[in-house]
Amino acid sequence: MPIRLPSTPNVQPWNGQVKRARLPQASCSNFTLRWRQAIDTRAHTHSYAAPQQEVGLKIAIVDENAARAAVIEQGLREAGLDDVAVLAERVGLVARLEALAPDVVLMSLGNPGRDQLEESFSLSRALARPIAMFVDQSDERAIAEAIDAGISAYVVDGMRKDRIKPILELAVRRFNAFSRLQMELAEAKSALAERKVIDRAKVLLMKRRGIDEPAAYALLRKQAMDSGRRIAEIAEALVTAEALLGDGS
Amino acid sequence: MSLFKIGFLPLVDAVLPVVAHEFGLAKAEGISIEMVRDASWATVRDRLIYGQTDAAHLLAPLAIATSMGLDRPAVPLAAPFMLGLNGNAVTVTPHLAAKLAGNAEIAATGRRLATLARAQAENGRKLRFAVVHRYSSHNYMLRYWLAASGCDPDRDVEIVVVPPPFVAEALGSGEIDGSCVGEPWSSVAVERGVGVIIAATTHIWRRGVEKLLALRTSTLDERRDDVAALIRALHTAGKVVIDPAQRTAVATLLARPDYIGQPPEIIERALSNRLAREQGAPPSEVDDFLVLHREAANFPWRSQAMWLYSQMVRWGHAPFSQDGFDAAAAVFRPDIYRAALAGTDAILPGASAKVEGAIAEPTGAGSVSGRLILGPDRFFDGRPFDPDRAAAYLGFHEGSA
Repeated sequence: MPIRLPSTPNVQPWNGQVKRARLPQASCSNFTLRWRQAIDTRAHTHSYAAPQQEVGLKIAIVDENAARAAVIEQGLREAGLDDVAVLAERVGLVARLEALAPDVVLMSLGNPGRDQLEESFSLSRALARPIAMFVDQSDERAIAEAIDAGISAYVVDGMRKDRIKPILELAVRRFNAFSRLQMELAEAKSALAERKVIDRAKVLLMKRRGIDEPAAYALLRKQAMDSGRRIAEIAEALVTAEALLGDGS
Repeated sequence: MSLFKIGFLPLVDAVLPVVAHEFGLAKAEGISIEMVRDASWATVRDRLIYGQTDAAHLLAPLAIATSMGLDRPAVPLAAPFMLGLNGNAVTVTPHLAAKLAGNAEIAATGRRLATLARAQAENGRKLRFAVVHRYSSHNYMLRYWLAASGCDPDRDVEIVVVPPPFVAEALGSGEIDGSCVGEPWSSVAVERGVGVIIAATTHIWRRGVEKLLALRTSTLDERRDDVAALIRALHTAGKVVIDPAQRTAVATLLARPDYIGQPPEIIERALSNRLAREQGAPPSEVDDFLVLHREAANFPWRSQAMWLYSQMVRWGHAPFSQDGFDAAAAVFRPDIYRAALAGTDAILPGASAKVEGAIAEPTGAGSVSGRLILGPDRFFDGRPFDPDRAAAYLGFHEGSA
């Protein structure tokens, strides 16, 4: 069993950065080959001179949450980035990305496919234009914000920072907006549920005591104030008690 | 109260921080724990290095790779406490298990598997094995076993990455032929009838290094006393989890959806070193399947880190250099372990490194306090790893091809 020592001189001064051993060629998928071709083609057809020139950037969104992916996709399209693909399934994810050969992959942190994806990127490293996680040490805050929002980004090696940053910032804003929306939705749902239980409690009181709705509500509110609890809690207790005790009527 | 947010993946060997939290052991040490469950090691790592968590249940080789900057700019991590030794199983589809014919010992199973793998490779349909991460003990132990059994893991089989909770699904769908994964995920595959356990990593290396508690070195420096309290809470948690009287309670706790989300009966198997090999078979004893506490199992031996580094070099994941070995060893922090547990009843080994795989019978070893008896720690092929002679060790493999 031969050991995989790199053939190049590798006993270098250790400075925290490892000179990577080249992987056996057989380990590399044709993904990276196609990838390189895609890049080469673009080098001929597009100028890298204009920093705002985003035409031709291919972006893949990998998110198990279809609604959130749609929100990101829409944002990117509005920003003029219309070559966007959304992927969700774990099985076959790497193969589909291989076929797509995107320039940027935006992936939710909660996606279980991240380790598989990083493995395929590790294998691509032996070739000329590998893809890797976007880590810009000059702007740690931007990356930390992305992680906070729940996004990881992978970009083709050599892509300029000023091209990826606006995309990442847009994704972060959309991710955060989506989280807020979800929270608001959850709050609205619970508010709706509370109103329903208060309505039921009012009906109970009106029936039992023969009072009208404002009086029933006033009774609930007084009880809540006296016991230092919320009206919804009092209503909940009343409805529960009614369900348990009943009156047979 | 000083809070530690601890990232983890749903695995049985996340049990120590979970128990330290839920049994009030952290609180007794004056700290609090919040467990943060994730779906990929990449996310556990990212949350740790960008400060969303303070500590992580992490694959030992991934902590080394992150510290050295093998995949991304280096972020120095420190591992002052091991969360368990071994606890992984090699599980294959029932179809492949039938071809391997029976429940043999590790070397014989390995030879059969290697022969089959070579034949399949010649037929143009390589066996595909899943590991949980490139930088995982699972990857290195599986490769070690296959290589020593007579096949080339790079050439004769395909090794892919599948997250632990998806291993059963991947075995069932034919996406993979086998896997090396931590519990309870092999047992879940067994229960679904899609997997047969053919080996445990403890059979490959009886005291295999596995998960560790990882912190940013900066956290360790800034919160030294809090980290010491955390280490004491985790060490006490070890006493709880090895207590048979607590086993069902611990398994029930881990079964919760916010931890593992699988039935407690299945989780209890790994905790009691008993595995059911295939669907319908009664669980049987697997000695030292998962060592969580005894023999100072939580002590971060620097030689364990160096063995991992030797395997990273062997498979082309890292370059060979003495500096590389030194940097890997430096991630493991026996000094912090000793300082945190000094004055407790914990066993404190005197040395920080040992020859790995040299013990055949329980053997006494030098300790600063407590009586240290080291159990058998052999590799299945009998080759010991002397951290002072790492080059010769790698050369030995080279010469044996």
